[in-house]
Amino acid sequence: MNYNYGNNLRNNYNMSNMNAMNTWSDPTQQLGFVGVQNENEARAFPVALGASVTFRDESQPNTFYTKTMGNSPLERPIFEKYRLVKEEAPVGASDATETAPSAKDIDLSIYALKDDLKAFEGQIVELKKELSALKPKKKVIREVEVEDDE
Amino acid sequence: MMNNVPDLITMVQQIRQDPVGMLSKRFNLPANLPKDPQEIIQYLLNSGQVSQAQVNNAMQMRKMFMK
Repeated sequence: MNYNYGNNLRNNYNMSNMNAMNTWSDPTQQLGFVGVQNENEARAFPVALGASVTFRDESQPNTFYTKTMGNSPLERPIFEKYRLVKEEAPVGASDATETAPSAKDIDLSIYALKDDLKAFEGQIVELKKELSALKPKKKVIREVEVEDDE
Repeated sequence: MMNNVPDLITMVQQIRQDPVGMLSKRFNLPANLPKDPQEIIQYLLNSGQVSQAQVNNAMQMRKMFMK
């Protein structure tokens, strides 16, 4: 018989309560952003002198604002708006190895070896010699004077 | 203070009746400060009586309760 059953339950309840309270007491520090419904709410949010607060627009998930106060209450706060843009193609060194064609993918049958090309070059030279030998020589016609016997 | 329940009850009643008056006494708010929550919070921030983190948490909790 487990006499500590009630105590265990109570302890678990207390622990979960404490965890919940810890989370609840400091939600912005865990997340880093203050949730707002729109830009006006962010603009109206009180910010301490010399401090900066980042807001997440809950109505537009990719939109963030920052409000930065100067060191003087007379200075106007700097308000900036940001949009988060998701890049579809991953960026990184691993992409270079993935996109570069590997030796297996290249069709080597379309290429010839250097030695084969040199052998062909030698054959072409010989063929040229034989062709030049077959060409007819140019005939030279001499002018001959014919004497008239009359 | 936590042991004195009657005093706590009295304090809570006073806060309910005149919250701004209680705040003014507790945090020494100037008389000419507009009775606007944003103005009061900004004054408390500027005077260093509350931190930015405390304000952020309070605003978030207020939003949770107001939902």
